[in-house]
Amino acid sequence: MIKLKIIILFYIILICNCLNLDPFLFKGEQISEYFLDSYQGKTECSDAIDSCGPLGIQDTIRKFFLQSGTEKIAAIFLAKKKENYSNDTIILYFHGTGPHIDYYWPRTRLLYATGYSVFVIDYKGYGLSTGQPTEEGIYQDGMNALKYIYDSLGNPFVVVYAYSLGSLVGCEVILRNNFAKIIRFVLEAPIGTVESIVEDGCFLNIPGSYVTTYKGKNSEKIKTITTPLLWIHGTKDGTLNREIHGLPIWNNYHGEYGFYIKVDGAEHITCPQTIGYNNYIKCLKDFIIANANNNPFLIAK
Amino acid sequence: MLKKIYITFVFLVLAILFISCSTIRQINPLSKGESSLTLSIGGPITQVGKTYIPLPLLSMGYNYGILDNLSIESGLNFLSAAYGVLHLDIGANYWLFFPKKIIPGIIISPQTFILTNFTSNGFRLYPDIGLTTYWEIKQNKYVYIGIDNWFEYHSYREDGNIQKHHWLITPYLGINMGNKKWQGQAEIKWYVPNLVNNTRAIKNIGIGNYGVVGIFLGINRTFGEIKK
Repeated sequence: MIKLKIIILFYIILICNCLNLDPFLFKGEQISEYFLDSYQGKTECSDAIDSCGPLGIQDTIRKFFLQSGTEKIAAIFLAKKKENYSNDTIILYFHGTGPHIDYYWPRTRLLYATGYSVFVIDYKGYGLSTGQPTEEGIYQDGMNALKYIYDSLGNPFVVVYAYSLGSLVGCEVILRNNFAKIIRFVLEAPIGTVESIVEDGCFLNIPGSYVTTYKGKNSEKIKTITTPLLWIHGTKDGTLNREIHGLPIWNNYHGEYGFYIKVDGAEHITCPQTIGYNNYIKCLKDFIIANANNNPFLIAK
Repeated sequence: MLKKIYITFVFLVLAILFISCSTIRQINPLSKGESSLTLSIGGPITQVGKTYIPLPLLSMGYNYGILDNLSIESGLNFLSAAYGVLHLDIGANYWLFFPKKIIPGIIISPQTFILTNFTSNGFRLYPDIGLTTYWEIKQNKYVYIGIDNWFEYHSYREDGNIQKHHWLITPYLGINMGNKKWQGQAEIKWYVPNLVNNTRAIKNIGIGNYGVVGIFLGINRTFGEIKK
């Protein structure tokens, strides 16, 4: 009987602390190539490409890899053909936890429809990128993308656009940056903290550390960010609730040039189409060129 | 896709940490000196793919009769343990009345749930009190209804948001049947029936748009000198 108890105790100790839920937060899908416009799988804003129309001969899509730690991450630069981008503005897009760039390609095309070039990466373990995502790893990926823009594209102005869980990367990159010219920060349906997901799930004040090593406290990080901010969030976001996740970020933002778009009726992934693609593009352009005060969708802080 | 991943995450959070994670452990009173071991599995019914299943919360409990109408109990949630969270409960069952024909018996069950992952801010303690009424419909066959009351005393959550819900109630209904040594239980719970459920990404079955319905199965083995 004592032997049995010892064996049971041994197995309890053995299984203790061997699991966490990190793989469910960032869960990429590795693929063999990017299809972009011709991708037939499920995407967000799937009709956006039709709405934007085909790319022209003056447009270029560069696909390449960046070194990120010991791994290689895939990057795509969608831009007008040019020798030098040093006087341009480039949107650096950090996508959410969806599987790869193809899934977000219609969104990338929407951003490109603003007239600015778009730089997008797949985090480690996503798309063609090697490795596995970790919190520090995705921050490293974000910083390496920014460094590439700085080093290889002539240090242009940068708009960081961070969507959903990509907001973890966006906030951290802005905090760590001390070299690139980041002029605007857009947060669409951001996560406040990873802890909020856990607490919403079980109704109780349970620490996130029970189930995940991710901290991702965007609502704290934003306190020290003064980069001009645009916050876009749907009122019917049942994934990252606007009041629980977005509002604390907004309330803690103390920069001088802050605007938000409260998208009535939009769910987590439907802000652009709920506003209307043309309105969405106009909002982004107005925010970037400092014409936000004249856009009725954009509400100032 | 994003939603699917998120739902999987929350699904597992629920599975690991959900309140009220077992059947009631002892309906038929233990006599002084008797003890019993219970194993319970089940949880909130949740959509997984195209089907709905109860979450697999697995817990084990031990009960010991102090008096003929008072037993103490303790339990351990195994799924939490796998994530490095010690999830224990200790408490008592006090039989205020035993059932007589149509007059039900009443059990009061104060409990304390202790959770910790052994980090500086990782300790949680939740008081809980359950009230169960039960009828003996045949010898060793019982039906019961009751309500579980969890109390969250923190004013703010770890994420800085206000903790809006401090009293979390869970009504339940069950049957308990078997013989003197072995008892089986089937129980249905309606978690937080006062809270709207259709703003959550995870698809639980509620009643209307309220609460979350859960199903549990339990087994109970009594040890010691069985008098009844």
